[in-house]
Amino acid sequence: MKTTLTVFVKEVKENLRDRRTVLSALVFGPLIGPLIFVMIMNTVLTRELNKADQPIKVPVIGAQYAPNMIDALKQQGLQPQPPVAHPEEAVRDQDADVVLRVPEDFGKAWQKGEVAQVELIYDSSQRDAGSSVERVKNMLETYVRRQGAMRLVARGLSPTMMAPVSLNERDQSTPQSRAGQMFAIVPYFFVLTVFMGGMYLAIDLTAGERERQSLEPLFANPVPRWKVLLGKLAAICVFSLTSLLIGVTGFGVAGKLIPAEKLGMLLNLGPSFAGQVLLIMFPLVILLASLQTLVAAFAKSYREAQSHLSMLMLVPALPSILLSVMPVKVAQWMYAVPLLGQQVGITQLLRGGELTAQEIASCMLCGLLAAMLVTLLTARVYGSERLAIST
Amino acid sequence: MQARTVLRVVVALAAVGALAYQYGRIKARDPAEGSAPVTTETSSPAGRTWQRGSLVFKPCELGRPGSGATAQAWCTTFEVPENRDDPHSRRIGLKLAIARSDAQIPNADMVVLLAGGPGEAATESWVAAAPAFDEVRKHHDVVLLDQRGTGDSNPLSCKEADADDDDASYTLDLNKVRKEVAACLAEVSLKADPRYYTTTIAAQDLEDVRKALGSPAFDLVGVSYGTRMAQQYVRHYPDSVRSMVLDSPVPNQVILGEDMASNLDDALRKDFAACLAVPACKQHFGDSMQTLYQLRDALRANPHTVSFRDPQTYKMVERPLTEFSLASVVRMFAYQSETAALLPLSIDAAAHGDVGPLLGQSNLLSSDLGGDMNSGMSMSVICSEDGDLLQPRPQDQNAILGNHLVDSIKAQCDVWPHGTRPADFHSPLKSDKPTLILSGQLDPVTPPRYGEAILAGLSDGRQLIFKGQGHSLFSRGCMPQLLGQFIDKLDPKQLDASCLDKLGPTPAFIDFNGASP
Repeated sequence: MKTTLTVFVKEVKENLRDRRTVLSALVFGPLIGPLIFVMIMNTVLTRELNKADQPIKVPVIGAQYAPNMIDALKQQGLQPQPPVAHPEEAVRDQDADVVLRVPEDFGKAWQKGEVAQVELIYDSSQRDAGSSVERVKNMLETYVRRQGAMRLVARGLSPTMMAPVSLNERDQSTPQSRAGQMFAIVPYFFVLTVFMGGMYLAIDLTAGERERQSLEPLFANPVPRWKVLLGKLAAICVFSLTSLLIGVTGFGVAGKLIPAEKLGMLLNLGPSFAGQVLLIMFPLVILLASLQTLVAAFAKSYREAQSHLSMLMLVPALPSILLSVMPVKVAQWMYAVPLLGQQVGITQLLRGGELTAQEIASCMLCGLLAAMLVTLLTARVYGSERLAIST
Repeated sequence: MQARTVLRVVVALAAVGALAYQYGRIKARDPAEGSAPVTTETSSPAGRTWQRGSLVFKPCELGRPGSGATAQAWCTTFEVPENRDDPHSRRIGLKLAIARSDAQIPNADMVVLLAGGPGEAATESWVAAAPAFDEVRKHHDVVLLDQRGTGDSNPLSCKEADADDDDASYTLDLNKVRKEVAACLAEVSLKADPRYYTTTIAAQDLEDVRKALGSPAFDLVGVSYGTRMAQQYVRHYPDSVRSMVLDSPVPNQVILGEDMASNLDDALRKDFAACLAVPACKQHFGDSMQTLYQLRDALRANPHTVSFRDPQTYKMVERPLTEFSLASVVRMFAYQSETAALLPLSIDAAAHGDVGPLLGQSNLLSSDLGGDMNSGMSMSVICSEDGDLLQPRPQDQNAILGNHLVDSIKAQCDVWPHGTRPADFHSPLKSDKPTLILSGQLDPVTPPRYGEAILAGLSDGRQLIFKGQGHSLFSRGCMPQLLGQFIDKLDPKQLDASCLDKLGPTPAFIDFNGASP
């Protein structure tokens, strides 16, 4: 126990002196998540809040042929612009999103009760044109429906004859669930935080020491190697745990900065969220520490360990990426899979749901089991002679 | 030894974790500060239920007669004594529905839709009104209470009296009106005492509902007669109200029915002036007001039966065409700018013998404020609160509506029982609640000056005038967005209502294919 403690204290002290390790473990790692989260949420917020109709500027050709129609469109927020000479080129060159053209014989057909036509000129391959086109289309359709209904009423008929079936859309989503896909990326930040928190230590304590040739004298001491390993692992865990704590606190602060209540969202990133995240992330702290040490143990130099670990960093991203690309139904077994469990658990919390004690327990137990297995494996690797020898 | 230490650490961690989890759960159940509606949703084999305050709601579909369209909500029945002074009197069930916000935690205050009429039911109006409340429902639940006597709240409808309605007479026979009202009263009396269906008593129902919901503050959105309800409610329960939106309001000091004839003539004159200003319209129809008066005089001299096609079934129907049916259908057309735009054309067609365009709509258009006189609830309200104050108005004799409405209200109230009204019922409203008043420039029933009269008694009020619009405005233009903003921010003076400036008149039809393009 004493050996382990000595190693632990020494490693923690040493690494606290290293500016790069401290910066990466305790500043960049934990705070990048909350920062990106604030950015994501602001995107969601603006997307939801920007639905308020702003006036839309549209060049109109032949407005003089249908002044009353243009007036009606103006009432809906269309701002007619002077006609452009070559509408087809204008939309292709992105000088205009959409151009409305009223043909000369519009009025003649209109007054005869024939089908009159207007043309919407746009280029659907141009980005941003989509929403403008949709809006102008909607305005025209509203106008056409209203005029059609009035023509029926004028003839003593019921406007319901024109639209015999009404479609009542019942979207069961909430602002929170609409943001759900964006939430799917957030759990990865916690994993990333833990990873970054321990990475430099893991490299330094294995590959680094080997490179500096200080591992050999350490192992020459008459103490079991696994005790040394435990001390090192504990040091890594403390760093990544601190990193996680800072990250969780960062999210708590971020939660206060986001006016989610404006959308009727409930973003509870307070102590309850923090506590549950810490609980389900705890096994990952040990698991990742062992995993990092294990991978670093195979590297011959600091640099090599760094590149190995960078590859390893991508592994925890997989569930996040998969779940944000193709949302799958959350099943109970998922909580038992390390990484996936944390992913679905934290997403659940973000979406305003609650985790049952059973879900948290399976998340923790299976995570701890996996952590133990990897630790044992790492201990075996540590036990081999090859490790201490530097090339 | 180390293993034991590790075990200890694990046990300690687990204990801390369990504690943190418990703490988290308690915190999670305790909703965010400020908004504290105690609501729980549960699903059991018997079906999903939702509890708010002491009331348990079940999912339901709100519909309205004459349409297959429905809207989703949560419903319950709220019981009240019919006679509030006698708790042992007959108990009536009020239909109460809540259209819930899609927010995880809605704001604590609730929006209440107060329907018009008198006689309309809030849950029935909701089907058509719901889209205009989308913005409001981002943060607020909407309370829909069928006022007693309407909808599914012990409705005072006279089905049998209505059935005889088809053989309407050529003249306004006040004796016949009295006979019909007596028959209606006999039918209604089996299940209700009509004296207890007044605005004042219904306001007490609403306050009881509020308390049962856990005493949330109310944001009142009254439409037409609903604005009178709002004014009475805020007078008696000022602490229950957070804000008011008065759409097409009737001030307390106005006697319902007294200046309807002159209001209608004013609105029609403005409608027709717009047509006269357009050369094509003027050329086709000339002065429609004059045509209308000529048509009225002709019908007064010679009422007759006409046949036309029913707009929905397309069957030929026969109806008497009298100065009264002319007046009532013209009045209904004037309610909305779209139908008002058809008036010059329809009047011209009727003057030339083609009554289909005008009469075809008579059973489609909904009427408001004293229009639906078959509703017993409407008579209970008007006879108790306005009927006895109506004075004969000889100056309206020659208006399109003439004195028909006043005469028939008086005749109805001769028969229908009168409830009581508080002494201050008709005194002007004084309030410091944030209030938004919506008035349509061309409203034939509640002209903008009504709104001005209410505004005078408000310290934090603002009136929005809707250009070229008629009656009932909450769904017009950008008003749905403004409704949400107003109720969220409660600052009527700072509200940016410039988007309403885009609204304008609907050009009148010059032939059956519309206005000029």
